[in-house]
Amino acid sequence: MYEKKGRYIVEFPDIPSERQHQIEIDVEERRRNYNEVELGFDEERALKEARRCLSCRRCLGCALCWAECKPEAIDFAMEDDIVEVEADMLIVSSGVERAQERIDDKFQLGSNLNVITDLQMERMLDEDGPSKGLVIRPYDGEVPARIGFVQSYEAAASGVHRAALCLAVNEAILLRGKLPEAEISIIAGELTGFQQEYAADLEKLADITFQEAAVVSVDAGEKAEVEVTLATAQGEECRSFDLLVLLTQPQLSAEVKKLTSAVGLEVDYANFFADGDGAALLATEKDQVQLAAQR
Amino acid sequence: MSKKRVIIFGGDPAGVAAALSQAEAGNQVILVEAAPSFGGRRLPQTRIINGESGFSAVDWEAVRKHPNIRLLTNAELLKAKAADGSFHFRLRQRTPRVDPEKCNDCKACIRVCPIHMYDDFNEGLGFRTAIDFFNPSVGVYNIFKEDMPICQATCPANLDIRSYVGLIADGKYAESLAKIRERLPFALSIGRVCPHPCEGACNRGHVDEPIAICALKRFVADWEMHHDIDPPVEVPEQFHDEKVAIIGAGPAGLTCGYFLAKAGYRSVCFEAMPEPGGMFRYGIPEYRLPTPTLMREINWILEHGVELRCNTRIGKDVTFEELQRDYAAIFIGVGAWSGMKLRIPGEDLEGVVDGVKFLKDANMGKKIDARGKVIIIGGGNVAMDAARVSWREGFDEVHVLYRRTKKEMPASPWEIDAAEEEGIKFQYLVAPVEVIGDNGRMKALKCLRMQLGEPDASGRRRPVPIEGSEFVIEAETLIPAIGQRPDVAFVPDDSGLEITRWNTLDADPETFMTNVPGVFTAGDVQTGPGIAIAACAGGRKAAAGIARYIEAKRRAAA
Ligand SMILES: Cc1cc2nc3c(=O)[nH]c(=O)nc-3n(C[C@H](O)[C@H](O)[C@H](O)COP(=O)(O)OP(=O)(O)OC[C@H]3O[C@@H](n4cnc5c(N)ncnc54)[C@H](O)[C@@H]3O)c2cc1C
Ligand code: SF4
Ligand code: SF4
Ligand code: SF4
Repeated sequence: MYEKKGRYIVEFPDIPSERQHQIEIDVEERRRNYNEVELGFDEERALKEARRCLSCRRCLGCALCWAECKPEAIDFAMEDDIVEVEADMLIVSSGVERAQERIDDKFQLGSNLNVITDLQMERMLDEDGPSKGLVIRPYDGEVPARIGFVQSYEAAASGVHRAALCLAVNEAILLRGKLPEAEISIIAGELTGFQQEYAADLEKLADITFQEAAVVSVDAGEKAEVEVTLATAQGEECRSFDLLVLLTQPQLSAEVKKLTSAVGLEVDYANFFADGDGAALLATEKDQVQLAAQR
Repeated sequence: MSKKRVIIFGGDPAGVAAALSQAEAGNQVILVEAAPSFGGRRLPQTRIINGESGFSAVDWEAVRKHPNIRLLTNAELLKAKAADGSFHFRLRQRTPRVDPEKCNDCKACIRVCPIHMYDDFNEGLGFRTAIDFFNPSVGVYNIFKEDMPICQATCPANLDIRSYVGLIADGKYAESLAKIRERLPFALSIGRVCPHPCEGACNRGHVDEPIAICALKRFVADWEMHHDIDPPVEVPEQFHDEKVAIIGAGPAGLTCGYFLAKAGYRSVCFEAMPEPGGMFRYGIPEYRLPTPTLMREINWILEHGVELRCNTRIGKDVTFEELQRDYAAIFIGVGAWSGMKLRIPGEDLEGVVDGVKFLKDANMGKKIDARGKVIIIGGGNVAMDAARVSWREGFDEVHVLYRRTKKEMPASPWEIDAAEEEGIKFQYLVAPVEVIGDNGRMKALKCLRMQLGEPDASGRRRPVPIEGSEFVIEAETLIPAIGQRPDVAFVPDDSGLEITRWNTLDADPETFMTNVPGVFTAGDVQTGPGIAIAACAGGRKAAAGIARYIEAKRRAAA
């Protein structure tokens, strides 16, 4: 099994192998014929690949826990309940689902351990989080000295973009509290409007730098640092971080979509952001349905 | 103010705050949350915090103890209905398997549980045990025991991936294949062509890259083929008397026939084309799925007790009414074969040929007039196939025009890569406006450049034409590949079968029966153009629906 360091860093000594690739014929061999291009795995590759599977075990029903549980709280015979509910009024709160599957591969999320999402950073900052509120690099557990927040979506409706930036700034403020010496940068395509809107708040921030730029590429440096190439108004620029945090785009969960379409409502995530201080509940075109404002 | 019954979906801080204020106002509140307990603390998204405060604190105790609030955690929405000024919901509340009244938070269970899995509460930063408290600040213990791993739940046919991959790792190839065939007869073909949505969901993707599930499926199927092993034909000793008619020998129809045979029903499959296979045979090109490989699989399926009648088009050679008269049930699996029109002038000129028809001709070995330059319109997998086939046919230049950018292209990334490798040229942000002809033959295409406009509410940017950006590309052939629709003209008007405005047929999601009793459907004709594994999944479920229908009728007659 893998070795667990505390509760957050995981190594997989038993499954270090890379994904296997199919055997393919060369491009030159393909012209003017219909020979099969992909030839599949040979036995060696297939075995290697099959052994990579984590076999995503859920509870096995081994009952070890049951044997240990003194108060006999565990009961495998408990079953799911089907609940029927009537209501006169419906309030939808959208939660915090993020469009992770749409993040471009160039950001190396998943392949580079020191690239994380803003939601992961939020968890790390939380005292109940995976590292009990300590901010560390997932790769080696070191405390990062240079942290960059970068926008990882192309374009978003303005309310959604604002929400993503706000989350980043709030995380940066908490980070500053925990790591007074760290270099913290927030990098996004469009910042001007946001900076104007929140000028009063941003003024007070100590040493959090903002930069208008788009990410061109992300590479792993030699000492596990993250090298980011940026396109700025002045041209390309390279910056190096110990931890890269991707600003992600909030989106509606499938559940919320199913729910709202079932009651005949068209909503998107931007609907959930109250303007300014706004009321806690937002009206919709149906008077019996309201949205709980994300704040 | 009278007391209302309020239901709130979403146990994040906003939902919880709404619950508390509604409950304080005296309303009866039900708070529904999908996770095992209420979500983590969150940072604000519309205002900047001032140092000290930070996370929004949720008063869990107040919520849990409030007499007007009923909590439904670990709950999933099954059905929602709005009627007569109120709402009705059906929810499934998954059991925690740990009695919260008895549990004393000693954590003994966590120490012994051997299963470490993706820690969803912490966004995958680490692992948790199968028994866990999910959110430490609330600490409600539960045992996580999903019906299926995420890969299986994502597969449209719900193949038991974990088992068949595990069997391969143990070198048990025949057993692995048998596992696949419990739900899918097309391991050879699907193992070659499936766009594998399961891999997108695979948990190993959180570690490095997903498991190559599709190629592994292909490996075991190839292993059997390369070793000349005859796949087992397992059917009941006795077949029932009733017979089923299947229209269309595509993935949906043949899968339906296979599972009908397993359930003890013989079927006759009517196919308009000279050979079976549907889009497997006439859409997907040879270099991705060779016909001999496909035919090995189809012949084995037919051996189970499916009688194939090719060159027989329902509506022309045999009528729908005859089938209704002669068979106990009908399965319609005619796919979606009518190419959508560009709706621009000049589209009828010679040299303009629809993508699906072009691929069909190539697959039938017809001579293609591959002179000069060819332009393919569209960004989906059919467009990629048409381009790669054109290149193989020997056109001098192959161009693909797409009206958005590469990022928005719906084709699978590996298909786009392969096309680029083969030297196919892509032009993005271009839309055709007119086919220019000479003596009835096309000679050029007039196009407009597009730009991506403002993102709409969903964040996707719409292409809008750039005024005055017209330009002309000379080309001898144009292949529009912008989508297909089913052709359901064979259905007689008085059959009562309802046809949707997309020319598809509606079916019950469980039984796959249409609005006409005894008539079932699945595959592209039901869903619109989709992927083959989904058509197979539909075919299998429809077979079960048909068997149940016939049994119910037999019981009623007895
Ligand atoms: C070019 C192309 C490439 C594709 N590539 C892939 C891919 O790589 N991976 C993937 O998963 N999916 C792919 N698909 C989609 C996939 O092929 C279809 O989703 C699948 O074949 C649908 O199966 P079906 O059985 O519903 O219909 P079809 O495969 O379309 O079969 C319908 C059959 O019904 C017959 N028929 C129609 N009308 C009548 C009639 N009146 N009487 C008798 N017979 C009739 C047709 O001749 C045909 O054989 C591709 C589709 C196309 C067009
Ligand atoms: S369920 Fe676990 S934490 Fe709760 S009492 Fe039993 S062993 Fe202890
Ligand atoms: S210890 Fe308990 S929760 Fe863990 S796998 Fe065994 S039965 Fe399941
Ligand atoms: S590792 Fe991937 S393929 Fe294996 S069981 Fe988990 S999700 Fe499925």
